[in-house]
Amino acid sequence: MTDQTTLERELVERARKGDDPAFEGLVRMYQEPLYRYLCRLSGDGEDAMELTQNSFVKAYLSIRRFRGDSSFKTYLFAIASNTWKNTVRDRGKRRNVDIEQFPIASGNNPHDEVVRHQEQKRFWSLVDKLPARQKEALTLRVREGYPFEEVAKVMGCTTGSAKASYHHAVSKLKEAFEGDEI
Amino acid sequence: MSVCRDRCRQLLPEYVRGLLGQEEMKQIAHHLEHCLECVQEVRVLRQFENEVLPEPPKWFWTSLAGKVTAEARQRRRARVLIPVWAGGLAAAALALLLFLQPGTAPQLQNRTPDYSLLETGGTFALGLDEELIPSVSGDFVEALEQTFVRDLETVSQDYTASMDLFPDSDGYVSMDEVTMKVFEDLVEEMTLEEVRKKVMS
Repeated sequence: MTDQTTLERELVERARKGDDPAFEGLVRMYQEPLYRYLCRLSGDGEDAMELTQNSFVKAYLSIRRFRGDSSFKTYLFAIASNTWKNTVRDRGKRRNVDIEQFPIASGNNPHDEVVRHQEQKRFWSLVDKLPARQKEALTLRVREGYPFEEVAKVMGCTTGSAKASYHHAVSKLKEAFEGDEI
Repeated sequence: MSVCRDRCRQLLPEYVRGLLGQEEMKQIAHHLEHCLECVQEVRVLRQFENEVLPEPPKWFWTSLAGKVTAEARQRRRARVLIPVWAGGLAAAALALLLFLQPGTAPQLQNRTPDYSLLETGGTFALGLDEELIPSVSGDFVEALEQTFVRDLETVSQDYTASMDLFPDSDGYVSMDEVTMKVFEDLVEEMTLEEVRKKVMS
Protein backbone atom coordinates (compact mmCIF):
# COMPACT_ATOMS: atom_id res chain seq x y z
CA MET A 1 0.00 0.00 0.00
CA THR A 2 1.45 3.39 -0.96
CA ASP A 3 1.95 6.23 1.51
CA GLN A 4 -0.72 8.22 -0.28
CA THR A 5 -3.25 5.38 0.06
CA THR A 6 -2.46 5.02 3.75
CA LEU A 7 -2.75 8.75 4.31
CA GLU A 8 -6.01 8.85 2.32
CA ARG A 9 -7.50 6.07 4.44
CA GLU A 10 -6.50 7.79 7.66
CA LEU A 11 -7.97 11.09 6.53
CA VAL A 12 -11.20 9.46 5.32
CA GLU A 13 -11.59 7.59 8.59
CA ARG A 14 -11.13 10.79 10.61
CA ALA A 15 -13.36 12.80 8.27
CA ARG A 16 -16.13 10.21 8.65
CA LYS A 17 -16.02 10.94 12.38
CA GLY A 18 -16.53 14.64 11.74
CA ASP A 19 -12.91 15.80 11.79
CA ASP A 20 -12.99 18.89 9.53
CA PRO A 21 -9.19 19.38 9.30
CA ALA A 22 -8.96 15.78 8.02
CA PHE A 23 -11.52 16.50 5.30
CA GLU A 24 -9.63 19.67 4.44
CA GLY A 25 -6.56 17.46 4.02
CA LEU A 26 -8.49 15.38 1.48
CA VAL A 27 -9.50 18.56 -0.34
CA ARG A 28 -5.89 19.65 -0.60
CA MET A 29 -4.88 16.17 -1.75
CA TYR A 30 -7.37 16.06 -4.62
CA GLN A 31 -8.24 19.68 -5.46
CA GLU A 32 -5.87 19.93 -8.41
CA PRO A 33 -6.76 16.62 -10.13
CA LEU A 34 -10.45 17.29 -9.55
CA TYR A 35 -10.24 20.82 -10.94
CA ARG A 36 -8.36 19.59 -14.02
CA TYR A 37 -10.91 16.81 -14.57
CA LEU A 38 -13.84 19.23 -14.32
CA CYS A 39 -12.05 21.76 -16.50
CA ARG A 40 -11.75 19.14 -19.24
CA LEU A 41 -15.40 18.14 -18.90
CA SER A 42 -16.88 21.62 -18.67
CA GLY A 43 -14.40 23.35 -20.96
CA ASP A 44 -14.41 26.41 -18.73
CA GLY A 45 -12.04 27.40 -15.94
CA GLU A 46 -14.58 29.34 -13.89
CA ASP A 47 -17.21 26.63 -14.16
CA ALA A 48 -14.59 24.10 -13.12
CA MET A 49 -13.79 26.13 -9.98
CA GLU A 50 -17.43 26.23 -8.99
CA LEU A 51 -18.00 22.56 -9.78
CA THR A 52 -14.89 21.60 -7.81
CA GLN A 53 -16.16 23.36 -4.71
CA ASN A 54 -19.68 21.89 -5.07
CA SER A 55 -18.34 18.39 -5.55
CA PHE A 56 -16.24 18.60 -2.39
CA VAL A 57 -19.22 19.94 -0.43
CA LYS A 58 -21.32 16.97 -1.60
CA ALA A 59 -18.54 14.58 -0.71
CA TYR A 60 -18.30 16.14 2.77
CA LEU A 61 -22.04 15.75 3.33
CA SER A 62 -22.05 12.13 2.24
CA ILE A 63 -18.73 10.90 3.59
CA ARG A 64 -20.32 8.95 6.43
CA ARG A 65 -21.90 6.73 3.82
CA PHE A 66 -18.64 6.14 1.97
CA ARG A 67 -17.72 2.55 2.78
CA GLY A 68 -14.41 2.31 1.01
CA ASP A 69 -15.57 -0.04 -1.76
CA SER A 70 -13.56 2.14 -4.14
CA SER A 71 -10.80 4.66 -3.51
CA PHE A 72 -11.90 8.03 -2.18
CA LYS A 73 -10.67 9.58 -5.42
CA THR A 74 -12.98 7.38 -7.49
CA TYR A 75 -15.87 8.22 -5.17
CA LEU A 76 -15.06 11.92 -5.46
CA PHE A 77 -14.80 11.81 -9.24
CA ALA A 78 -18.15 10.01 -9.48
CA ILE A 79 -19.76 12.80 -7.45
CA ALA A 80 -18.02 15.43 -9.60
CA SER A 81 -19.10 13.73 -12.77
CA ASN A 82 -22.74 13.73 -11.75
CA THR A 83 -22.51 17.29 -10.48
CA TRP A 84 -21.26 18.32 -13.92
CA LYS A 85 -24.01 16.35 -15.72
CA ASN A 86 -26.68 17.93 -13.52
CA THR A 87 -25.29 21.38 -14.28
CA VAL A 88 -25.32 20.69 -18.02
CA ARG A 89 -28.89 19.43 -17.80
CA ASP A 90 -30.06 22.36 -15.66
CA ARG A 91 -28.71 24.78 -18.19
CA GLY A 92 -30.84 23.07 -20.82
CA LYS A 93 -28.06 22.97 -23.33
CA ARG A 94 -24.32 22.82 -23.46
CA ARG A 95 -22.52 26.12 -23.45
CA ASN A 96 -20.33 26.97 -26.36
CA VAL A 97 -16.79 26.63 -25.20
CA ASP A 98 -14.33 29.29 -26.19
CA ILE A 99 -11.54 27.19 -27.61
CA GLU A 100 -9.22 30.20 -27.58
CA GLN A 101 -9.18 30.25 -23.79
CA PHE A 102 -7.13 27.04 -23.79
CA PRO A 103 -3.52 28.01 -24.35
CA ILE A 104 -2.00 25.79 -27.00
CA ALA A 105 1.53 24.51 -26.89
CA SER A 106 3.72 26.21 -29.50
CA GLY A 107 6.70 25.12 -31.58
CA ASN A 108 9.69 27.04 -32.91
CA ASN A 109 8.95 27.28 -36.64
CA PRO A 110 6.26 29.98 -37.31
CA HIS A 111 4.74 28.10 -40.26
CA ASP A 112 4.56 24.84 -38.35
CA GLU A 113 3.11 26.73 -35.44
CA VAL A 114 0.22 28.09 -37.53
CA VAL A 115 -0.58 24.66 -38.97
CA ARG A 116 -0.33 23.09 -35.57
CA HIS A 117 -2.54 25.75 -34.08
CA GLN A 118 -5.24 25.14 -36.70
CA GLU A 119 -5.04 21.41 -36.21
CA GLN A 120 -5.33 21.70 -32.46
CA LYS A 121 -8.19 24.13 -32.72
CA ARG A 122 -10.06 21.65 -34.92
CA PHE A 123 -9.22 18.86 -32.50
CA TRP A 124 -10.43 20.63 -29.35
CA SER A 125 -13.55 21.77 -31.12
CA LEU A 126 -14.34 18.11 -31.85
CA VAL A 127 -13.62 17.19 -28.23
CA ASP A 128 -16.07 19.82 -27.12
CA LYS A 129 -18.79 18.41 -29.37
CA LEU A 130 -18.51 14.89 -28.00
CA PRO A 131 -21.55 13.57 -26.12
CA ALA A 132 -21.14 13.84 -22.34
CA ARG A 133 -20.56 10.12 -21.73
CA GLN A 134 -17.96 9.83 -24.46
CA LYS A 135 -16.11 12.88 -23.23
CA GLU A 136 -16.22 11.55 -19.70
CA ALA A 137 -14.87 8.12 -20.68
CA LEU A 138 -12.12 9.68 -22.77
CA THR A 139 -11.06 12.11 -20.05
CA LEU A 140 -10.95 9.43 -17.37
CA ARG A 141 -9.08 6.91 -19.49
CA VAL A 142 -6.59 9.21 -21.21
CA ARG A 143 -6.02 12.13 -18.88
CA GLU A 144 -6.62 10.52 -15.52
CA GLY A 145 -5.04 7.25 -16.61
CA TYR A 146 -7.84 5.16 -15.08
CA PRO A 147 -8.21 1.56 -16.23
CA PHE A 148 -11.61 0.84 -17.76
CA GLU A 149 -12.86 -0.85 -14.58
CA GLU A 150 -12.35 2.41 -12.66
CA VAL A 151 -13.76 4.48 -15.52
CA ALA A 152 -16.91 2.37 -15.27
CA LYS A 153 -17.12 2.90 -11.49
CA VAL A 154 -16.93 6.67 -11.87
CA MET A 155 -19.44 6.68 -14.71
CA GLY A 156 -21.81 4.27 -12.97
CA CYS A 157 -21.94 1.86 -15.91
CA THR A 158 -20.49 -1.47 -17.00
CA THR A 159 -16.89 -1.83 -18.13
CA GLY A 160 -18.11 -2.77 -21.62
CA SER A 161 -20.17 0.39 -21.85
CA ALA A 162 -17.22 2.53 -20.69
CA LYS A 163 -15.00 0.92 -23.35
CA ALA A 164 -17.61 1.53 -26.02
CA SER A 165 -17.96 5.20 -25.06
CA TYR A 166 -14.19 5.62 -25.13
CA HIS A 167 -13.75 3.99 -28.54
CA HIS A 168 -16.62 5.98 -30.06
CA ALA A 169 -14.95 9.16 -28.80
CA VAL A 170 -11.56 8.23 -30.25
CA SER A 171 -13.14 7.36 -33.62
CA LYS A 172 -14.79 10.77 -33.79
CA LEU A 173 -11.58 12.57 -32.89
CA LYS A 174 -9.71 10.84 -35.68
CA GLU A 175 -11.76 13.05 -38.00
CA ALA A 176 -9.62 16.00 -36.92
CA PHE A 177 -6.77 14.54 -38.96
CA GLU A 178 -8.71 13.29 -41.94
CA GLY A 179 -6.94 14.11 -45.17
CA ASP A 180 -3.61 14.58 -43.40
CA GLU A 181 -0.64 12.46 -44.26
CA ILE A 182 0.65 10.36 -41.45
CA MET B 1 -7.07 -6.58 -35.95
CA SER B 2 -8.08 -8.83 -33.07
CA VAL B 3 -4.61 -8.27 -31.61
CA CYS B 4 -5.24 -4.49 -31.69
CA ARG B 5 -8.55 -4.82 -29.93
CA ASP B 6 -7.50 -7.31 -27.35
CA ARG B 7 -4.18 -5.94 -26.31
CA CYS B 8 -2.27 -3.17 -28.03
CA ARG B 9 -5.21 -0.91 -28.54
CA GLN B 10 -6.23 -1.07 -24.89
CA LEU B 11 -2.72 -0.08 -23.84
CA LEU B 12 -2.25 2.87 -26.17
CA PRO B 13 -2.96 5.56 -23.55
CA GLU B 14 -0.21 4.09 -21.33
CA TYR B 15 2.08 3.72 -24.37
CA VAL B 16 1.69 7.38 -25.27
CA ARG B 17 2.54 8.41 -21.73
CA GLY B 18 5.49 6.05 -21.62
CA LEU B 19 4.15 4.13 -18.68
CA LEU B 20 4.69 0.59 -19.98
CA GLY B 21 7.65 -1.70 -19.46
CA GLN B 22 10.42 -1.83 -22.04
CA GLU B 23 9.17 -5.05 -23.61
CA GLU B 24 5.58 -3.83 -23.98
CA MET B 25 6.75 -0.50 -25.39
CA LYS B 26 8.76 -2.41 -28.01
CA GLN B 27 5.86 -4.69 -28.90
CA ILE B 28 3.47 -1.80 -29.39
CA ALA B 29 6.01 0.20 -31.40
CA HIS B 30 6.39 -2.86 -33.64
CA HIS B 31 2.63 -3.20 -33.95
CA LEU B 32 2.32 0.47 -34.94
CA GLU B 33 4.57 -0.13 -37.91
CA HIS B 34 1.80 -1.97 -39.69
CA CYS B 35 -1.50 -0.87 -38.10
CA LEU B 36 -2.86 2.37 -39.48
CA GLU B 37 -5.86 2.35 -37.16
CA CYS B 38 -3.69 2.32 -34.05
CA VAL B 39 -1.34 4.93 -35.50
CA GLN B 40 -4.31 7.26 -35.92
CA GLU B 41 -5.38 6.54 -32.39
CA VAL B 42 -1.92 7.38 -31.07
CA ARG B 43 -2.09 10.65 -32.95
CA VAL B 44 -5.37 11.48 -31.22
CA LEU B 45 -3.97 10.55 -27.82
CA ARG B 46 -0.82 12.64 -28.37
CA GLN B 47 -2.98 15.73 -28.77
CA PHE B 48 -3.89 15.44 -25.13
CA GLU B 49 -0.24 15.64 -24.21
CA ASN B 50 -0.22 19.19 -25.64
CA GLU B 51 -3.17 20.31 -23.63
CA VAL B 52 -2.62 23.24 -21.28
CA LEU B 53 -5.55 24.04 -19.03
CA PRO B 54 -6.42 27.49 -17.66
CA GLU B 55 -4.91 27.98 -14.22
CA PRO B 56 -7.20 29.24 -11.48
CA PRO B 57 -5.98 32.13 -9.31
CA LYS B 58 -3.70 31.13 -6.42
CA TRP B 59 -6.27 32.07 -3.79
CA PHE B 60 -8.51 29.32 -5.14
CA TRP B 61 -6.08 26.61 -4.05
CA THR B 62 -5.29 28.19 -0.70
CA SER B 63 -8.87 28.95 0.32
CA LEU B 64 -10.81 26.02 -1.14
CA ALA B 65 -10.50 23.57 1.78
CA GLY B 66 -11.78 26.10 4.33
CA LYS B 67 -14.59 27.23 2.03
CA VAL B 68 -15.75 23.67 1.46
CA THR B 69 -16.05 22.76 5.13
CA ALA B 70 -17.69 26.11 5.96
CA GLU B 71 -20.26 25.76 3.18
CA ALA B 72 -20.95 22.12 3.99
CA ARG B 73 -21.58 22.93 7.66
CA GLN B 74 -23.90 25.74 6.62
CA ARG B 75 -25.84 23.49 4.24
CA ARG B 76 -26.18 20.86 6.91
CA ARG B 77 -27.59 23.39 9.36
CA ALA B 78 -30.06 24.58 6.75
CA ARG B 79 -31.64 21.18 6.30
CA VAL B 80 -35.34 21.29 6.97
CA LEU B 81 -36.64 19.83 10.18
CA ILE B 82 -39.95 18.07 9.89
CA PRO B 83 -42.26 16.65 12.56
CA VAL B 84 -41.70 13.10 13.75
CA TRP B 85 -44.91 11.85 12.16
CA ALA B 86 -43.58 12.88 8.76
CA GLY B 87 -40.32 11.07 9.43
CA GLY B 88 -42.31 8.04 10.49
CA LEU B 89 -44.45 8.26 7.41
CA ALA B 90 -41.43 8.61 5.17
CA ALA B 91 -39.70 5.61 6.71
CA ALA B 92 -42.87 3.53 6.67
CA ALA B 93 -43.64 4.52 3.11
CA LEU B 94 -40.09 3.69 2.15
CA ALA B 95 -40.44 0.27 3.72
CA LEU B 96 -43.71 -0.16 1.85
CA LEU B 97 -42.05 0.75 -1.41
CA LEU B 98 -39.26 -1.72 -0.87
CA PHE B 99 -41.56 -4.50 0.36
CA LEU B 100 -43.84 -4.06 -2.61
CA GLN B 101 -40.85 -4.25 -4.98
CA PRO B 102 -38.97 -7.26 -3.65
CA GLY B 103 -36.87 -7.45 -6.79
CA THR B 104 -35.36 -4.08 -5.97
CA ALA B 105 -34.18 -4.93 -2.47
CA PRO B 106 -34.60 -8.65 -1.82
CA GLN B 107 -32.54 -8.57 1.36
CA LEU B 108 -35.30 -6.66 3.13
CA GLN B 109 -37.83 -9.42 2.75
CA ASN B 110 -36.84 -11.39 5.81
CA ARG B 111 -36.50 -8.50 8.18
CA THR B 112 -39.08 -6.54 10.05
CA PRO B 113 -38.06 -3.02 11.01
CA ASP B 114 -38.92 -2.03 14.58
CA TYR B 115 -41.61 0.54 13.97
CA SER B 116 -42.08 1.18 17.70
CA LEU B 117 -38.98 3.34 17.41
CA LEU B 118 -40.92 5.69 15.21
CA GLU B 119 -43.08 6.62 18.17
CA THR B 120 -40.26 8.69 19.65
CA GLY B 121 -41.41 12.24 20.28
CA GLY B 122 -39.94 15.50 19.06
CA THR B 123 -38.65 16.19 15.59
CA PHE B 124 -36.95 14.04 13.02
CA ALA B 125 -34.65 15.37 10.34
CA LEU B 126 -34.46 13.70 6.98
CA GLY B 127 -30.72 14.26 7.17
CA LEU B 128 -30.46 11.69 9.95
CA ASP B 129 -27.82 13.80 11.55
CA GLU B 130 -27.58 13.70 15.34
CA GLU B 131 -26.60 17.38 15.46
CA LEU B 132 -29.94 18.29 13.93
CA ILE B 133 -32.15 16.02 15.94
CA PRO B 134 -31.28 16.51 19.57
CA SER B 135 -34.78 15.56 20.67
CA VAL B 136 -34.74 12.17 18.98
CA SER B 137 -32.88 9.38 20.68
CA GLY B 138 -29.64 8.11 19.17
CA ASP B 139 -31.17 4.61 19.23
CA PHE B 140 -33.87 5.74 16.86
CA VAL B 141 -31.41 7.15 14.35
CA GLU B 142 -29.10 4.17 14.66
CA ALA B 143 -31.91 1.66 14.26
CA LEU B 144 -33.32 3.45 11.27
CA GLU B 145 -29.93 3.65 9.63
CA GLN B 146 -29.12 0.02 10.36
CA THR B 147 -32.47 -1.09 9.05
CA PHE B 148 -32.45 0.76 5.80
CA VAL B 149 -29.21 2.35 4.74
CA ARG B 150 -27.33 -0.77 3.67
CA ASP B 151 -30.26 -1.86 1.53
CA LEU B 152 -30.68 1.57 0.03
CA GLU B 153 -27.05 1.77 -0.88
CA THR B 154 -27.36 -1.59 -2.58
CA VAL B 155 -30.27 -0.23 -4.53
CA SER B 156 -28.30 2.88 -5.40
CA GLN B 157 -25.49 0.78 -6.81
CA ASP B 158 -27.87 -0.45 -9.45
CA TYR B 159 -27.38 2.24 -12.02
CA THR B 160 -30.75 1.78 -13.65
CA ALA B 161 -32.62 1.84 -10.37
CA SER B 162 -30.87 4.96 -9.13
CA MET B 163 -31.22 6.79 -12.42
CA ASP B 164 -34.91 5.89 -12.74
CA LEU B 165 -35.79 6.85 -9.21
CA PHE B 166 -33.36 9.70 -8.73
CA PRO B 167 -32.39 11.34 -11.99
CA ASP B 168 -30.96 14.28 -10.05
CA SER B 169 -28.84 12.21 -7.71
CA ASP B 170 -25.09 12.45 -7.50
CA GLY B 171 -24.80 8.73 -8.09
CA TYR B 172 -24.67 7.83 -4.43
CA VAL B 173 -28.30 7.91 -3.45
CA SER B 174 -28.57 8.67 0.22
CA MET B 175 -31.13 7.87 2.87
CA ASP B 176 -32.11 11.53 2.79
CA GLU B 177 -32.90 11.44 -0.89
CA VAL B 178 -34.79 8.18 -0.72
CA THR B 179 -36.95 9.15 2.25
CA MET B 180 -37.62 12.56 0.78
CA LYS B 181 -38.58 11.07 -2.57
CA VAL B 182 -40.92 8.53 -1.05
CA PHE B 183 -42.33 11.14 1.27
CA GLU B 184 -43.03 13.52 -1.59
CA ASP B 185 -44.62 10.82 -3.70
CA LEU B 186 -46.87 9.33 -1.07
CA VAL B 187 -47.66 11.90 1.54
CA GLU B 188 -50.58 13.38 -0.31
CA GLU B 189 -52.11 10.08 -1.21
CA MET B 190 -51.98 8.07 2.00
CA THR B 191 -52.43 8.75 5.66
CA LEU B 192 -49.90 7.46 8.16
CA GLU B 193 -52.45 4.93 9.38
CA GLU B 194 -53.05 3.64 5.86
CA VAL B 195 -49.34 3.24 5.27
CA ARG B 196 -48.83 1.50 8.61
CA LYS B 197 -51.72 -0.88 8.02
CA LYS B 198 -50.29 -1.93 4.69
CA VAL B 199 -46.80 -2.35 6.01
CA MET B 200 -47.80 -4.21 9.14
CA SER B 201 -50.18 -6.53 7.36
